[in-house]
Amino acid sequence: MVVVGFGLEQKKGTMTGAVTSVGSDEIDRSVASTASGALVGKIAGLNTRQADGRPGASTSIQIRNMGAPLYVIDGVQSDEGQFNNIDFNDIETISVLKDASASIYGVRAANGVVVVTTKKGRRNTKNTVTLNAYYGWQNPSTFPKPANAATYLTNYVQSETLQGKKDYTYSKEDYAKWLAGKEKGYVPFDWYDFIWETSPQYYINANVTGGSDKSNYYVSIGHLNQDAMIVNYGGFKRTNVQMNIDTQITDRFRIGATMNGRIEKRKNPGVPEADDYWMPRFGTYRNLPTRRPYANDNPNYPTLTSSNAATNFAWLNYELSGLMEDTWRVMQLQGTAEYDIFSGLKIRGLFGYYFANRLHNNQEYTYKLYGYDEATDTYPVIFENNNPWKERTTSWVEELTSNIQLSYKKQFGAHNVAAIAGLEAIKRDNPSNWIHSIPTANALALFDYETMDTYDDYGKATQARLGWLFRANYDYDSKYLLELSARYDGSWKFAPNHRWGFFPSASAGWRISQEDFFRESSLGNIFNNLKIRASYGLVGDDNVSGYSAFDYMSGFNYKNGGSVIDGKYTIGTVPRGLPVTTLSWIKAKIFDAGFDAAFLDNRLTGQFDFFRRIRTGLPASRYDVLIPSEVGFSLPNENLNSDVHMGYDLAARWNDTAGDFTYSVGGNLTYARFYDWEQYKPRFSNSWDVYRNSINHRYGYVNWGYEAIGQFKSWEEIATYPIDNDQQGNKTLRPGDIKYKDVNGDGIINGMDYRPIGYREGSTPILNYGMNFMVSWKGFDLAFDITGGGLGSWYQQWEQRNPFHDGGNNPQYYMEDTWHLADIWDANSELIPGKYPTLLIGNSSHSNYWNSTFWKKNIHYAKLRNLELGYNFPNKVLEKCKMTGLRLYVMGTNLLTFTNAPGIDPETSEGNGLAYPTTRIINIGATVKF
Amino acid sequence: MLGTSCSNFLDQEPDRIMSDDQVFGDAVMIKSVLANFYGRVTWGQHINDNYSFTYIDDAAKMDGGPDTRSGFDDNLWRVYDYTFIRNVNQFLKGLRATNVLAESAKAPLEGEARFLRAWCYFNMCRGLGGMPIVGDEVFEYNTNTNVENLQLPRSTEAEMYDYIIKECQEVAAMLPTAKQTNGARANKWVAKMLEARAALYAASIANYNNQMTSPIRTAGGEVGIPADKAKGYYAIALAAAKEVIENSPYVLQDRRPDNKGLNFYECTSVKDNNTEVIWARDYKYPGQTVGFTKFNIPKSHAEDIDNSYAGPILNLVEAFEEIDTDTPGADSKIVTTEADGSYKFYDSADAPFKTRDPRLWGSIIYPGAMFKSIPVVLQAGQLVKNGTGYQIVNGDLDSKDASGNLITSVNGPKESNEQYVNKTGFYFRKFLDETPLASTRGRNSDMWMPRFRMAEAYMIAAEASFELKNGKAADYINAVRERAGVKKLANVTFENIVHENRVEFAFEDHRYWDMKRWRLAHQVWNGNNTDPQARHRRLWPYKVVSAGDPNNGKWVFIEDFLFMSPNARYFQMQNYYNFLDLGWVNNNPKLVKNPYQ
Repeated sequence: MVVVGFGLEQKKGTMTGAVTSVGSDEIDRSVASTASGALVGKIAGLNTRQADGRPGASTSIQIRNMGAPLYVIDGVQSDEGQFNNIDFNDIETISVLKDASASIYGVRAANGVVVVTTKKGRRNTKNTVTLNAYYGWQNPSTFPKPANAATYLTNYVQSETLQGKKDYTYSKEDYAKWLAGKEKGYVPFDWYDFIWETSPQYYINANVTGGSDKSNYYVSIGHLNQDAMIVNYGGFKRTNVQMNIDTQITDRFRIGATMNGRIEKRKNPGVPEADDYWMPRFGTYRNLPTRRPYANDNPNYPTLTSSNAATNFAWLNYELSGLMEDTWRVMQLQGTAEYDIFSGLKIRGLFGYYFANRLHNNQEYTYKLYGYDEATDTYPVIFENNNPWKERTTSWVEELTSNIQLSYKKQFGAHNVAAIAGLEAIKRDNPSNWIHSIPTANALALFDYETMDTYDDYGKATQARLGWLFRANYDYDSKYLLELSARYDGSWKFAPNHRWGFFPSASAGWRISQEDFFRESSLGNIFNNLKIRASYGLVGDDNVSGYSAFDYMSGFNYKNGGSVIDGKYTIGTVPRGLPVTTLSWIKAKIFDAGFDAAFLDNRLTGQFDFFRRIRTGLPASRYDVLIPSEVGFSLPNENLNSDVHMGYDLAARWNDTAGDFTYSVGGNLTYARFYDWEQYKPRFSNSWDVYRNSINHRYGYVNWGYEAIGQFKSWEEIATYPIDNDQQGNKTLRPGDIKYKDVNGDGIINGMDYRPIGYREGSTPILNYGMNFMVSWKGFDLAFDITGGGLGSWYQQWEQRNPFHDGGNNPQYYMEDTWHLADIWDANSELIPGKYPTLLIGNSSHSNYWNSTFWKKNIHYAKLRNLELGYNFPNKVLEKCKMTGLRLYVMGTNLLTFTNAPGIDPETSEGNGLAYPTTRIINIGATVKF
Repeated sequence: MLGTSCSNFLDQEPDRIMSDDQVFGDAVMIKSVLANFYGRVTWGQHINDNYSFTYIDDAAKMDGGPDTRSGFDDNLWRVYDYTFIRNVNQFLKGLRATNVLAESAKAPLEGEARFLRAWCYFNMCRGLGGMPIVGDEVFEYNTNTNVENLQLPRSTEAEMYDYIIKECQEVAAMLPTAKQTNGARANKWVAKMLEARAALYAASIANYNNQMTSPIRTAGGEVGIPADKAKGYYAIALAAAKEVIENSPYVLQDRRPDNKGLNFYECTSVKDNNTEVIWARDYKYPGQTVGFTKFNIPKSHAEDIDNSYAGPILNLVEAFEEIDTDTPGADSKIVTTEADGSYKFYDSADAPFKTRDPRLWGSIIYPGAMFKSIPVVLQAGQLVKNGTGYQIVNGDLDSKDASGNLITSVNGPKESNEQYVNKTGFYFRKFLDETPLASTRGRNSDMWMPRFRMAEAYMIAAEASFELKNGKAADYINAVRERAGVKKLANVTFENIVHENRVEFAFEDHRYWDMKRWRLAHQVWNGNNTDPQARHRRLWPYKVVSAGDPNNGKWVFIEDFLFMSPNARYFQMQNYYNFLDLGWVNNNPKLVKNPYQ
């Protein structure tokens, strides 16, 4: 059975929608700290990217690149955070609804739905206690190391030589001393090594499950700890509890209760800048290898290591810089009841209550940085920061869900009929506030009214949604399958007369393999199952960009702007713009066609789906209704534009046994492309304008730039080069500089030579794939997953590109492979080729650093993402110890990466290459059952 | 029944939306709308935008790498805020209709709103020329609206100034005459000042535009004012300025005869007991603060990470005359070399500056000057005896030689691509807040920024008198100069007026507009990279460190073009008026484009 929501489950064989499920055995093989990470590479139709690997970070997931999906956990619509921070070892199955079959979720289903079912325990099973624990060591999987002192200085001196600077920053003697690295004051410093380290991640879980003939239960408690890979920098801790109980009150009446709770805590030193993880990453590059963190190397006196005081990691710790703690406390309770009215007719109800509390406390201390006066052996203060900062965010989420359904299911001979109708209501409040104070002493942990200067109340931000749902299934002899579903949905966002939307869908399937003619044909021996299916339907989205809830109202906005008048700050109030009564739902029509097949005694199974989603009603304004701007308002947007997502996904798996060997090999692939579609009356001034700027019926997010066609090899080549390559008559060029293709042949490189050179940056890639391998032999088992992606662009910038960026360092892989002089002190010495142009100080606006294929890379990669080797002790050993199971295992994550990305993690989206790296983890663990 | 309860379920209360009745039924809410308006009327150069001072020849960007700016954007400081005008008109409509306030209580509120609307038009007009005048109309739209009825043509530049002047005259009678707290709200004198300034601008355009070889104008007069109107405008400006000088409660602040520099700083940058400032954008901690002090405080005085984003340049410093000069009212160069080309040695770091117009001290922190009673050390390097000559030695920030002598100050100046380093040799003092913690990210500063102050009333009166040749110009300009602590002028020339405005109102959003109305901008900012006026220049101090040398301990200064500003300022004819956005023209075919567009 595949569960697709509360009270909604279907037999896999007779399903007609594009739904993929994975079970616990497939997701358990992961040590990701969040549930999204466990899904990578396991499901066809999922596009994923982990752009950041900090403790507790999650992987961004999109179903067929359609945007953020809806999550439904045990029948209750939930947010991404609830999904990510459930302990995925408590999950029984995850079903991904990829097509219009999601329409039963109506209003928020346009981007697909991820349906999670937790473990419930089974009737009539023995009580089992399971203990599972692992301990692991994390390292950055890929992080570009900054250049060492010798490489940095060589490039720097060479730059000054080439720029004709007479008073060198580093003299010949200094340079020699730095390279020797022995004399005091000339000992290089490895900032990477100072900031980054190997750190632990561990997990422990205990659960109890079982059932009698009247009830079943699953109770679990688990704790995860993931430290930062930055020295003494805290990390992420989470404790999860899951309790599920179902019981039969009478023969006809069942009730169930579920509780899911967690405490989730992030902790690190409170340091300057909003993202506390930025300064250690930035400091790795901003501090030169010639600077040391402490005055006179005395660890009591951190010093100024760059013009930005906050880059010195020596004081970014709990003692000197402060404390940040961000805690979520979350409880989801729900009760269900089910009553059989008569044979086939049931009434079901679910009532859910969700309460979450976030408390974010951040304090940044005042601090001092010191110099060293050798004459007096004293440490004078050279920089003093007097900005104590203390803030607290408090927010709550309270959500009430109720869902009542009537269902009917009956078989009449070969006709199977099932129908369900229901009503779902969801109301969510999210009050929050932020306070700030300037504490009088670093030691003060509490807020005092006297030092508080800001209290921002953000209000309740209530959301309310209501929907009527309906679904009917019919099949004839499990051969001809038909499903109709619909939802009539209302959203509080819109004006009363635009509130409601109707979202129907239909799907049908034909199990050819059940037909006699097929079974009797030669194909029947090969195919165990062959089903073709198609679906089409309409789903809605009330998340209309540029439209906020209540935009249909006129009046005034309170707490908007303001100024100091009469000597006091006075909060402002502003007249609202024209009421927006013309905007409503975005409508998504999703078509999906595919087949499921099984061959060779079900050893080979596979599925394929083609899909196309067209969204209409994207907001745009009717620019051809010309309202003079002097009237002081512009026309509100209307539902005018459209876009398309199109692609395919497929999966195949081979399962077999050979003697004592059991093995399986599986693979899946998702290709999902985004197109901008209809635009409201597009207009262009000429054909170039159309070519360059039209987005009508085109791939979305086309990435334009120059085509780099190599590097200049010699001065002669530059002197005789017919094309103006730098817009300055090639005056600025040197051998090694980048050559661009003069696409239009006008003899100059400029914007007219821009061509599409890449794909979308920063989002999930167009192509994702996974390969899953598993083999077991007697008590041993080995499993691993290879995951990968492609057709996404990364633009190499800042530290990874600009010479001596912001007075700081560049990566080693870059600096050691530039065009350089044989003698760095002699500008006329021989030039030795390298991969990158010569680095010149202050040169980052040079033509070398224009937007081109040299720096804008189309990234593809494959990672050995999970590997697990385990041993299950045989029963005869276990019986002696009164155990029913004992398993020892070793796991590895992100062990290998194959990519064309230079020195950086291929999933990173930051142009500076300094995103917190994804982790490579090796861990050992044990599972005990009794 | 289910239907009703369902639709109720979806009727949720917004947190921050109020009905018209809630706003106009409560005096507190009415004031809240005004607070919103006052927060939206800061345009041009201002202390919330550090780099705005670097676009002209007063200051330069010091943050990060070179700033290649040269020309002026077609939409620089362009104001076209008809949303604001509509909001004011919505407010006027509601205010006039409400009965929670007595008519007598409504008048000053209406006066304030109409003044702010006039101020908005003024800011629009000085950038774009004449634009459509909406009056009190609140436009609405539905699908039956005939769009043509909404299309208003541009007014002439003269009509627009006339409208501003008339509005100011009308609201002056409605507004209170008493001083407002920190000059944050409009009173009668604020309206008179706008009247005077608007009339002076109109007069200057009538006068100087028509003296150009090819005056900038459109056929319909949207841009350009006939020369014969100049006299009338100068007379209006003079009358309004005179009324402020003679009848208002403000006086030129002159309380420290022994410390004219500090007095000038207090005139512009200290709110307490200020007698000078008539209208200002106010800030207050807690509530609403401004980052200027944080961004521009000297590194040695920084209380947080930020500092040294922008700094004044030598071009401006040299505009401050020597106190005992023979040519009062004119710039004077700082001498860095002797006649034979050798270094000129000064006894102290502040020697070239401290004998100048005290307003230099009050506006700019120069090497060795005090800030918060601690000297601001600016030292680019050492000058070390090397045989018969001297050699320059540079170091990292806060570097010392083997004997413990400073090589380069923690402030710099230094040539680099780094953030947080001085690169011009000077820091701002005007608008830099001495309050503790004013330069921290958690607090920021409550420094105000004056828009009108008494010195401007005198300068407007002086300029109008000069142009009207009534013989009173010297009296007015000398009142300002005497307060400043420089010699009086016997005769006033046009150049004296230009000069006086520059030094008196540095960083107060005057110079750019003055240079435009006098039609001087294209001459001074000529784009010539070798022109010492057009290109930003720096002055870096070096200390002589050579035991035994007679010059040991003395200072030399090296002048150079600023590498942070590789390109000279280039003001072209097309920059005298902003371009109209083509979108506006598309939306309203009655709009005429500006010259050169």
